[in-house]
This record gives sequence, structure tokens and C-alpha cells, in this order.
Amino acid sequence: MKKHLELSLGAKKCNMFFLFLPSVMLLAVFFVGPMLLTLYYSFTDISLTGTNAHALKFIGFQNFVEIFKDPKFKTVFRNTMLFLVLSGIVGQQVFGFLLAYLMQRKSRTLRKFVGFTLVVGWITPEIVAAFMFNAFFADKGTLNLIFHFFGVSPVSWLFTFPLVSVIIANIWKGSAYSMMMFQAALDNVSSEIIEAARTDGANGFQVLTKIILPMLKGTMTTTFIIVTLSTLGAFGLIYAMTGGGPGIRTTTLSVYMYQKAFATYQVGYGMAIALIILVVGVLLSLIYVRSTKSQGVR
Amino acid sequence: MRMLNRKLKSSVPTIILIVIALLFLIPLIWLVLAAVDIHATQALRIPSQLSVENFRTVLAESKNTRGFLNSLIISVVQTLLVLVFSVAAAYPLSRYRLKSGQRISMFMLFLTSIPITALMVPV
Repeated sequence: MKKHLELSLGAKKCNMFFLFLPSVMLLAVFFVGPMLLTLYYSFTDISLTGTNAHALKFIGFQNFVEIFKDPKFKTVFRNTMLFLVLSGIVGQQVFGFLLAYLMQRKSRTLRKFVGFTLVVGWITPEIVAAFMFNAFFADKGTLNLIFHFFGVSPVSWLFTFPLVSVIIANIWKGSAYSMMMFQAALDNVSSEIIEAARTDGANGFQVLTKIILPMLKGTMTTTFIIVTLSTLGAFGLIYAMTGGGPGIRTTTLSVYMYQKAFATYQVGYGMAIALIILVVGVLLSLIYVRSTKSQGVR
Repeated sequence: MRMLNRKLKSSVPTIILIVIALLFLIPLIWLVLAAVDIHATQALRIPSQLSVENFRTVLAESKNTRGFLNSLIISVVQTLLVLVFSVAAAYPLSRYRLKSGQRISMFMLFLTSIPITALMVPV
């Protein structure tokens, strides 16, 4: 500690450089580099097999033109947005916040119990979760067993409501993250402010919308961005649960990209889809940051 | 009467929370019960007798041994590397009050949360 205080500014800078170096290098090699490659490949006709694998041609926007002509793409894009909004934003974010909000000032045992059940979902490997929910929603699965118990005739979930099934699985898997983030943030809201507002005659709803939510803006932006990006990229869960089917009813952009790039070997085309995923993610993140900043509170 | 009302009101969130937690547990309970049940089906049921037969079959399969080893190597090496590198990067971020510290950590967070599927092919 004392030694650091004595270090000159130059030595400090030098130190800092070396400490950042490994992680910055990793990020450059595994994130920035691939991003640039994705950008480049998306304008070529590269493929894994055939002549194009050796001599790739620069074909400009042809991939994108093809994508927007693709009748499947519209459905896939709609699936992605539904999956994102229902499982990511409404599911994980709003649901996670509600849980954290309800858990305020509850007994330790209850907090631990509820926290445990959610975190288990979060740490379960994607493939295990997919397998579990495949069984849960199966024709002779647990959900139909419960329905049978209440006298409702069984439903073939994965065929009748495939997107809903995948969304529920994703909520089960991901809600813990938002919940924990919001729990930590809610604990930081000092009870004095809330009490002061209550003395001034604010009711519970007003305290929530006028005091607590504005104070959580920073946390909200961060979790919104992370949840959005991870939901856009959710691949393993969907692919293992339904494989994008039946038909293309649960195919999201990332599953579609995989199918194009690795099943039909149109890598250039797949990369163009990947670029669209990236652009959607970045755009949404920018919108979140803007909309929370513009209202003054940070 | 008023006391009772208030008590009732404050226990509503508790009940909601417990119901949600139980709903979240159902698929998990199936996983645990099915693992110790030789005649497991896709539906939740109490096993007629507990057995470790399923585990024995999994462990006896020689393919799985390799799988376990692979998983172990990946997770241990990955954890160690991540720990070392992230501690190295976190140290200057927390020790020196950098003007752009917030920005650097946000940028790193953003980069790492970019969908891996979008970058999968070049890597």
C-alpha cells in the first residue's frame, strides 16, 4: 500500500498497462477480432465446402438483400422479438424485480429459500435445463400430469405452444440474475428516504414509482443490457429443447444463424444474420442508456 | 380486526413468494427423483424404490469417463485463468481512481455479454 503511494505517475501508468494487458488482449482476440471478421465475412460468399471455401468473393450487400427477401426471416425475427420481450424483459426483468421487491424485509429463511430455488435455475447448465423442460412439457410430462389432476385434458405443449414452452424455460433459467441485481440495489435504497416520503403522505405505489424506481435506474440499465444481449444470443436452451421446431416456430435469430452457417454451410449468409443480432443488441442497449439518461437521474 | 387485516396484508407477499418458489422447484424435483428411479418416466412420480443403478450405469460407461475428465479440465483451467486475469484488471480499476474507470468496466461488461453465437464462426 505504502509502496504504491510512492510510485511516480509514470510507473503507475506502466503498472496499470501490464495489469490490463491480459484481459484486454483476451477481449481483443476473442471479441473484437471476431466482430471485425463477422463484419467482413458477412459481405462475402464464404462457405465451409465447395469452391467458395477457398476463393471467397466480395459480394457487397447481397447477403442482406437475400435475408430481407427470405420469407422465413420475418417469422424468425418475430420469434426473436417475442422471445426477447416475453422471456427477457417481461419475464426475467419485471418478474425478477417483483420478486426482489416482495422479498424486501422478509424473514431470512424465506429470502434464502426463494433465493435458492431461483439460483438453482441460474446455475443449472443449459443442456440440463433443456432436458428438464423437455420432460416437463412432454406429452406424458409433469405439466400434463398436473393438468390431469385438475381434470383438464392433456395438451401437447411442445407442438401446440412451443414458443411459450421455451419462454417459460428461459424465465426459469434466467430470473435469478435480475433478482439478485435488484435485491442488492433495493438494499441500498435507504429506508430513511422511504420513511420521509411516507410521512409526506405518499402511498406504497407512489413510493415505488417516484422514489424506488428512479433510484434503481443505474442497475436497471445494466441488467437490461445484459439480459437483452444474453437473450438475443440464447442458443443452447432453444436448440436442445426444440431444435428450432416444430417447423421454424421456435427458431430465433441465433438458431437460424447456426442452421445457415453450420447445417447448410452458407457461412457468409450466417454471418450476415450474426451481424444483425449484434446490431439489434447494440441498438437496444443504446436506447436503454439514452432513455434512462435523458430523465436526469443517473 | 384491524390487526388481523394488517397481518393478512403482510402475509400476501410471503404466500406469493412461496408459491413461486414451489413452482420453480417442480422441474428440479423431477430431475432428482428420476435420477434415483430405475423406471423413471417423463412425469413427476415418487419412485417405488430408491436405487443408485442409474448412477452406476453412467459411471461404468467408459465414454463418460472421458467426458468427466474433459469437463473437469475445462472448468478448472477456465476458472483459474478467469480469476487471474480478472483480478489483474480489477486491481487498477479499484485501486486508482481512474477517470474512465467506470467506462472501462462497462465496456468490458458489454463486450463479454455479446451473444457468443454472433461470434462463434470466426473463433
